[in-house]
Amino acid sequence: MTRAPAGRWALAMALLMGRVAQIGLTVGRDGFASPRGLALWMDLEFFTTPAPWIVMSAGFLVALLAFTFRKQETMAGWGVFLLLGWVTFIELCVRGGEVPTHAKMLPAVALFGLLMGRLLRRGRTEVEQDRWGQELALGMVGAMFCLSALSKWGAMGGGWTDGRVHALLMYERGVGVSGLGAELRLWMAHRPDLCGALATSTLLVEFTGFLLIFRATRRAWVIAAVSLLIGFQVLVGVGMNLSWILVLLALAWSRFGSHDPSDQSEVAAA
Amino acid sequence: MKSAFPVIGAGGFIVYLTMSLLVGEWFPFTRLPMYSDLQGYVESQILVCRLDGEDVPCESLGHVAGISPGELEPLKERHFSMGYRLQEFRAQVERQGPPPRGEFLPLEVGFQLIEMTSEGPTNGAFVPAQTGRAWRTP
Repeated sequence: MTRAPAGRWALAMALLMGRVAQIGLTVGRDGFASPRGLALWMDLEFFTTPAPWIVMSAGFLVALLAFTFRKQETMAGWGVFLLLGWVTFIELCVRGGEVPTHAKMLPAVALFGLLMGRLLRRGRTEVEQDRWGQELALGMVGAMFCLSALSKWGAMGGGWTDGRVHALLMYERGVGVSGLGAELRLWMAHRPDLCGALATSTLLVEFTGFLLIFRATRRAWVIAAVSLLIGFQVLVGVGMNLSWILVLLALAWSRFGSHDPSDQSEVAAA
Repeated sequence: MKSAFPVIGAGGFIVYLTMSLLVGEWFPFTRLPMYSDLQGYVESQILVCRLDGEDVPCESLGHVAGISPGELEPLKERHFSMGYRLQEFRAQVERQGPPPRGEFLPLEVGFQLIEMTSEGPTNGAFVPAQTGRAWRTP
């Protein structure tokens, strides 16, 4: 059995967290609020009942374990990916809306990059496949952050950095509740200029998601991105998913797949 | 010899960015629109529980009587983004047990108007929605 690198474990944990976050959205619910696609043609509400849900969850866990320990890795990885996609489809049918919950999206995209790399370099060495997968994952995850900035800019332009809007959100979430986080939110709410500066830095970090693909800037950018996610959670109560943080840290400090000897020589040379 | 420029990573970046912009929310592609459109609100309202004239966290109320939480609705003409707090209060009242011993205090439940200025938040009027009685958790 090949020993899985820390990055592979982190990705597996993140995928599991993403799947767990979907539980309440996909089982034990009263039908579909917004059936779509295949659900318009077939009765798929059956999948929200406990029996098929347990079977599919067990399948997910088996595939995830096989992927983590590199047993039939490619097939297991695609199995995990497709099951996440299927559950995301069921989730949207159940609760409506167009945007899935984000907890699993970043791990799923990282996995997608890894699998695409292996697919594109099929027949080459394991190291070569994993190197492509790792780099594709870096590019795709960086693009996600850039897309998030583009969404903000597209929705509100520069108005997204208006500190008063963010200060109001923090005040709403800080008043009438107790705890250190609430006190910090209230403190920030009285400083709209500071809120505006943080909002501007958020856009800056997200727009520069492409820095993830460069070795020289990768770790500094990940530190900034993780700080951003933690800040969002503390101050506004949204944004931080441990699954995202795990994947980002793994991308910067570990690998999802095989050790690349050429990377080591570069590190040694540096 | 590998190129100094990360061609594969750049390719992944461009392909994912382009595909997401083209197809939108189609797993695994997404534009991550969460928390994007804040709509520029600088006026809002929050749910307030006023026990015997003093604002208290609604969750600190041990028992509530005379309030119909299902009929509590925020003011329509004012932005309200804290629906989950209202849901929590409704659930809290619905699942509460029998009233405890001791004295009940007068309770007003309503909505506090807020305006955010460049100096910070300022409270406007408190608009009571319902009145009842409540017992504070010791």
